[in-house]
Amino acid sequence: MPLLNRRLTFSFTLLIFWSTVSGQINLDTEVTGVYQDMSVVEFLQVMENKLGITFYYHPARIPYYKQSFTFTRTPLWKALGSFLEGSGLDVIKYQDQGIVLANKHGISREQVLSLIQNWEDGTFTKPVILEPQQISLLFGDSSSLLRAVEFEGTVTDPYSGQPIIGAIVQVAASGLGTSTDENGFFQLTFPSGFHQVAISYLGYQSIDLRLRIHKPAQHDFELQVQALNLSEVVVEATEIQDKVEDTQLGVEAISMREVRELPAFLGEADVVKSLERLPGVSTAGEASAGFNVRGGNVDQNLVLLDDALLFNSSHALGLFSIFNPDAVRSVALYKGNIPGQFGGRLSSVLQVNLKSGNFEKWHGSGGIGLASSRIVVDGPIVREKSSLLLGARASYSSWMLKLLRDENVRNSRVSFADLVAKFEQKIGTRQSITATAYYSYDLFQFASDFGYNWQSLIGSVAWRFLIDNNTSLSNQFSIGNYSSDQFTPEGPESFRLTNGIQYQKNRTHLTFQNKSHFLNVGIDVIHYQMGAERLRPFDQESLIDPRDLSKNQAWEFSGYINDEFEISSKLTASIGLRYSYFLGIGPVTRRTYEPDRVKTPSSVATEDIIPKGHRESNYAGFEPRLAFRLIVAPRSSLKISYNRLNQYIHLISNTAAPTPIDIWQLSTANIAPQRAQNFAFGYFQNIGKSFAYSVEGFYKTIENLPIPRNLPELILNPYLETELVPAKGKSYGVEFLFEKKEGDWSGNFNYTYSRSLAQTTSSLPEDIVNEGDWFPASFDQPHQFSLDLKRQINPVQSFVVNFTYKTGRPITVPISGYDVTGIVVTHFSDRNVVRVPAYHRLDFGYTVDKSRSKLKGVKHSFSVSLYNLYSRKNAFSVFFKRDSRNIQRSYRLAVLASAFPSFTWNFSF
Amino acid sequence: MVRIIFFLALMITIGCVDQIDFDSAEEIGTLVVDGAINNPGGPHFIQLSRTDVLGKRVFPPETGAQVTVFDDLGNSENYSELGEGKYVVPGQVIEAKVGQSFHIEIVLQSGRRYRSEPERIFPALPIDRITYTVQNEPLTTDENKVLPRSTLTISAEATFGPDEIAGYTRYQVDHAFIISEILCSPLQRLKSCYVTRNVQGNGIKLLDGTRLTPGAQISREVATIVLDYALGLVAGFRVSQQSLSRRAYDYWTDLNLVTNNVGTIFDSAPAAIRGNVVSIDDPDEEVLGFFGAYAESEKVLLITNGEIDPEFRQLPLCGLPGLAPPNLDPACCECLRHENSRPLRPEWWPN
Repeated sequence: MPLLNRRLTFSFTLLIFWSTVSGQINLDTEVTGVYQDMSVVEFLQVMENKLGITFYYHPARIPYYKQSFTFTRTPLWKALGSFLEGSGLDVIKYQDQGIVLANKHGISREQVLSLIQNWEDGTFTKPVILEPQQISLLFGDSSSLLRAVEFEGTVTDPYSGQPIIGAIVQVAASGLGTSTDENGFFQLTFPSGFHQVAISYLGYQSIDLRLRIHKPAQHDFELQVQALNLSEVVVEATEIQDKVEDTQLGVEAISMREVRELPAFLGEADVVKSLERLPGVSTAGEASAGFNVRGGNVDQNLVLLDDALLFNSSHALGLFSIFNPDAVRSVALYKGNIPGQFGGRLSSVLQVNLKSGNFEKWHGSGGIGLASSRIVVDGPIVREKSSLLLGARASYSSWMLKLLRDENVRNSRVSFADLVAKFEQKIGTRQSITATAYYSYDLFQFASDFGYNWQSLIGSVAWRFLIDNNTSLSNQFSIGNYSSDQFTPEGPESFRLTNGIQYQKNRTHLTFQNKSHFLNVGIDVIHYQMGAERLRPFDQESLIDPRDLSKNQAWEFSGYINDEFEISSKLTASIGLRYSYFLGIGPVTRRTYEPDRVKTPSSVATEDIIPKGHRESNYAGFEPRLAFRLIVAPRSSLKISYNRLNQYIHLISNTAAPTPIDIWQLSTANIAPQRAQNFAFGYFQNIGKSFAYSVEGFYKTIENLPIPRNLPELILNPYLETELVPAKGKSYGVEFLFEKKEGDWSGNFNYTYSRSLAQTTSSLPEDIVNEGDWFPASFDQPHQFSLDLKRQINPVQSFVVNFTYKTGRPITVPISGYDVTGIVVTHFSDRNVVRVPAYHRLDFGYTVDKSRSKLKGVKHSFSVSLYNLYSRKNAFSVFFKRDSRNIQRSYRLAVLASAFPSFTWNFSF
Repeated sequence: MVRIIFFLALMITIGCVDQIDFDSAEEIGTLVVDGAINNPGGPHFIQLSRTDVLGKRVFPPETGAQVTVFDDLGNSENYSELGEGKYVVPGQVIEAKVGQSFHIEIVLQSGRRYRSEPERIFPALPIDRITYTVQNEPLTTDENKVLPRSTLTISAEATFGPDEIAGYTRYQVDHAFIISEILCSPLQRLKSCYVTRNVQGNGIKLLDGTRLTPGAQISREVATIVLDYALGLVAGFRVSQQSLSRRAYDYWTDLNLVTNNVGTIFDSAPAAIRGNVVSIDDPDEEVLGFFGAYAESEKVLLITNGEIDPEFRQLPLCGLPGLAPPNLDPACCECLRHENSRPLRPEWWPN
């Protein structure tokens, strides 16, 4: 109880200050009685009736679990303290008006006044109490001699599959308790025998657990969302409150339930495509690998799957993403402040975490769609000790091509598959080992003309050690291999060209969390090994001479520390520092070029053969990460951040949009790392119970942007740096988001104005693009807005309408013609000076989710969607060719030019 | 269920290409230089012109310029203007020898001066033989109608020595055929004409021999034409293999990329193509075209109608004797009326 005493002492200090005017309310009033199975709200109601005291509190902050106490002449402050133990709330007497129950970190005059005002104007009303869910569990038998046992588990949201962080797990008798960590994990130690444990979290139905435990045990809990079952309950949607209170700026947590409900192309629920409806996220088009965040290039996004690096997130040339939605537990996109624990990319971090297998029983889920099917099964290998998750997805989309008229298309193939496995072993009560493996494969072949395939393979092993309830240590070792091929399968010059990249990464990470700090410290070591570009004859008929172009290797070392803490009740900070060191090593040829000459093979001044393991180049840099959140009013906050970031690996591409076969290139002595400075700010406000809006702005500058010169030769080029011109970049923009999270109708509207520009910096005419002026990147789309509307018809049925608009992306256009040896040649403009027509699209989706009916046996849902409802022919690109009368014409290539209906059946068991 | 899926599938169309109106800022009047030193005994030609609006096939000539060619031995020779922006140098001083480098300087009437970067002549790869194949290749029209069609493809074969690196090659194909008049009037004196056709629409055919196995024999398709009356009597093809420098190969590769861009996601972004001519007075001025230097080897193939598989044989323009087609082409009575028709053999046509 010393903690409680300290807290109450602190409260009374305030109480003295506020009690100077009146002493009519006496917190020393004695309370006597047996209060059995009573929640805090019920106890307050009893006290209100009995003593005539008014209580002010935030309905969404009050615990809903039930407790039992017997008081004999107990002072009121002490009785309240018993009920509020572990809730984070303090008791404050406010003048003669009543007693305020306020957050111990947020006790300020403004906050108290705001709380009272909310009650007085009717914004807050007394909450409806939902009966807790009753669960009984038995572990072991009473013959066990163990005197103390550990009980642990996780608390998750069953619909999103995401862990619930900060859920309170409390033993009723002793009042001892804990809260779940960032993974939804909790752990309790108590005497073997019978215990009543309450598990609760704001906005969720509590669980009253009747636990008979005689051996160490584990159990995972799912909390049902209260809002689904109550009408007009004064429980604010936590997502709205989170945006105001979260210290991080520009972080988007994606609910997997939302991902599944969005209308998708061919019904494929898609993590990456669902990001596009967020402000500041876009893609160059439907068939475009990757995504762009806040004016950043595709390679400036760090994509992590269970913390292992992914170099390509696309299936089928970008029509789908590679994540099996049934295997994904959580998705978060950091697009503003990037905390110190992340690094190596300039624009964003997409963190995708896989589910762990269930430790109690086997489950399965899957879906059958028009283009592909998927299944995920998970369950215990040794009950309560080890679990396994296995997932697979495969496409059969080629059958659609067979229906088309064009013979070449009929003879084409588009197919993909992915496999995932995750094994988790608990060692004792405080340690666990997790092993994850992921494999994805893609093949695209156009008739017998050409084809591409690409594949990703990653594996990781992570060890996690819970040092105490506040501190955890983990070490993860991961490996990855991304490779892509392009091939021409027929003819004397048929070939296969392969390139790729491998890495090995180790991360040692320590998290410390207490009431006022959330500290992350760690070290990352990555070894990159770029695969040689290999040209091989496709078959024995081919005359192609095999050729290899070896590439360099590198080490990237990083150390980081990041802490989130309160400076005052209104001001919170996230301060981090990352230091990264890049070491490029041989075997490789290091060249210098003659100064004041364009880099070409003929302007090489010196060439050194760097032996294996020796230094070719090195770069380093400190990367400060600063973010502040200021609560300017109880429901609004202001945030500002500054990040500096370094990127040592680059995607070199000159195609209309990034493709899976583009080359990943490490920094070298001649290709400097990209460095960015990123400023962001935001204002967040909640309006009433379910509305919120935010305005965010950003400004980013980039040094050493690798811009390909006009018509570069990037393949099998040992002098790749000669095809790049020195440039810098900048992007800036404003994002506006308005959302309604609750009610029968929910949705959001967002608008983004953003620009992404580049400028060559050389003084040599050959290295200058667009006369040295700023020019837009090929994904620069200044105006974007989207509208999502969801109607929850009843707990089972819902429909979603989504509208998207984007300015057309810039392209290079013909400006005149001329003759060369009888060939009429088109002369093109400066780079990216004209835009293709605007992109817009309307989608519709209808979902019947029978799983919520809680039927026995297999639960299922089905969804029908219509993608591109009014068949907008959105121009993916515009190109120019002569017609049969040799007249130059402009043509629009629309990748998905029709309305695409789809039907998907999802099931779980 | 099967019906539903089939119905849905029918509604699916992968992609769409259609014509759109597109406003672009046209800029015309840029100088274009197009010429080469290539003929061992001369003469050598150069064409100076200006860019013009899209859709034009004839471009404004640049007349009244002074053009001089220099070799790396210090020799120089002036071009004479032939008219229509075409200039010629006899090649009496300048000899197109393998291993030598050449560049030109141009002074326009306006006084503006230009210079090309030096280009060296590399040895040309000899042609072993020219072959052809004929096949059915139905045409799908824009309205999705399928029309019968046969094509003839010309290939050039070459062999590299086991220790030989093939270097860079550009293929040039000239094509001509004979049409013979029929008796349209009693006093007519029947004659034959040679009609030349441009096969550049096939694109620029290049070979990067540095990527091929030494000692390999390679057969390269260099032109494809649609079988029509051109093969009704005799058709001729001259194939030349021009040796290119790496710089010239890059230029023609870029030109090929730009002219064959079909807008897929895998196409390079188009761009203006830098040649090897720059302005002496204003380095920022854009100049188009290329002044090259190359050696070449050539071979000629004549194909008579009788050689072609009967399945693919075509009627002559004017039909078989006595069987004049109902819609008689005017060129059948006066063959010089046919476009690009001459009474004389092309210079490459064998006697």
